[in-house]
Amino acid sequence: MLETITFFLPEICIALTAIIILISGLFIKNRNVLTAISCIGIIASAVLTVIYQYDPMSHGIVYASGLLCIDMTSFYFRMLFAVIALLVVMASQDYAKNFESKYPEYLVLINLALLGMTLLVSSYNLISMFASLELMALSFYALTSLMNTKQSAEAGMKYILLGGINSAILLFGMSLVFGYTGSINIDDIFFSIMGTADPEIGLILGIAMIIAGFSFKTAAVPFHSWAPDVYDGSPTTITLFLSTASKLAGMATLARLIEIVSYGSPTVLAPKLAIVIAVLSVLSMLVGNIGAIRQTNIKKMLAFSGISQTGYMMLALAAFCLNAADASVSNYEIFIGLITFAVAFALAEAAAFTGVITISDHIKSDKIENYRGIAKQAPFAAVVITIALLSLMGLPATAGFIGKFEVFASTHNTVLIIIGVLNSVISAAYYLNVIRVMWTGENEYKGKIEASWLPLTVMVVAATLVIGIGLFGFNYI
Amino acid sequence: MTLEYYIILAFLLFAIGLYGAFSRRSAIMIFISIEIMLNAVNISLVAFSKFSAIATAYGHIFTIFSMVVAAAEVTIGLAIVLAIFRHFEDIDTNDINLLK
Repeated sequence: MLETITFFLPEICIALTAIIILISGLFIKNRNVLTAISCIGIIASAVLTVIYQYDPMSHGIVYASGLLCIDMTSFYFRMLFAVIALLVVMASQDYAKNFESKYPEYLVLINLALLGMTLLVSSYNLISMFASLELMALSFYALTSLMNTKQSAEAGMKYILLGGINSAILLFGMSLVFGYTGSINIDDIFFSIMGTADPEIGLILGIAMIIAGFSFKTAAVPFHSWAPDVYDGSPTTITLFLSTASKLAGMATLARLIEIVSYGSPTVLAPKLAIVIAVLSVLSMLVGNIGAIRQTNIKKMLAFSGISQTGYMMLALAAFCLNAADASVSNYEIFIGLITFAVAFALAEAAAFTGVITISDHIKSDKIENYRGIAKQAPFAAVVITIALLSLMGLPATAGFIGKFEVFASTHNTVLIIIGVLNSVISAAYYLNVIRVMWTGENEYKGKIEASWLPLTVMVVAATLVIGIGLFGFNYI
Repeated sequence: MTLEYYIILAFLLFAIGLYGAFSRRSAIMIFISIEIMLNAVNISLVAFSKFSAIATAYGHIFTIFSMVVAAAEVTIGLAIVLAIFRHFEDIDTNDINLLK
């Protein structure tokens, strides 16, 4: 029991950081100091994760009485979330003047959301899964409604009402799965599903409700209706956090659940699940891409593009169900595809949103038409946004291409690959439109647009990594 | 009393809550509907735990977690409803549609 305390050191570090900021926020009014404390805490937790949570043999260690586990997925996603949280805190440096008095609470909530997400991807039990999901969700409800504007309050209300309904559905699904398998432990559920040749309707309903619950967090169609409004209304830095970390946390958990269900019952449940996930995936791609084309607001356009990216990630989940019965396809390959895509997506979003924050902060507008010719005023931010959008589109020599290639290849299904590639072509319409608007014409805003050094670092790091992964592949970075 | 009765009760309560959550327009009523749904879940969890072939306490523990989370959610929810009322002087979800 006592030795497992070292496994908790990253979490303890994040929680301590949150408490320290909460207390020191009462005395310290200097934003730079608070940012520094938060960055140090997140970096320390990432270092502790590498030391104590890295599992090179990837055989999976279950600890905390079966509540949490260490495996390859949890390790990679924990590191990714730490990097995203760090980038978000750094990118907030200029933007935080919009909620100056609430800055300590803002950092505390970001740390608590990070804590929820790191626990969620390690969860090996329905109780810890639900509790950490809610820790993440409750922090995000507060974060979305943090700014003292009508839009922010409305975004928070929409998110919490739909999120509350969603968590009730998720919880009901969990209770049904518990009732029909007799356990809440992922391993026991796996063996229980394996042991039943003919699963009961209650179990299928429970699994469907859990999938619906996590699909809401990943903003997959038809559970996406909250995403554009909430992304638009919340502070832009939180939009970045919500559209990457929250989405990927839901996706990682969904991957874990779908993996055990489809490998537990490769002949009965997996084919049914494959259809459901493939339909969710194709719908997300189509609705996301077609919705993004007619958006005039860049935050909403990025929200819809995020929905279509969810569709591509869902392809990797569909790959679990499609290839469960086929022993020649290892789930390792599919996980690598999902993680590569997730890293590429998160970095590109971080670059794009930081650029948008920098520009929108000066021109006081999120409308795409007001970005006309902005490349003259903000050449660096425009280059970064261009790289990020090209990566989201999946242009070769960017990280997005590697991610899409790995995901498409892992499905081993020609129809899904063709649909995915066609959707990438559709998506070029709106990504290239933004790039065209930025680089042509004249902008009304004549001043120089420059970011302070922290957001600048975020843009440099994210854009460099996007190009680096695109050129050298994920394994060498 | 057997397990079926409890599960039917839980499903009925859940359906009532779900209907309320989608048909009501006042934010407070939607929160009450969500609470009904969560209580339906609690009934089903406890019933499954009691009648399960292998006697486990997981359901009871899960119920405590779900009650705590529900309380926390309502706390944040009411705070957001207060913020909404300050900005809009109204909590009718149909009238709050700046973000379109």
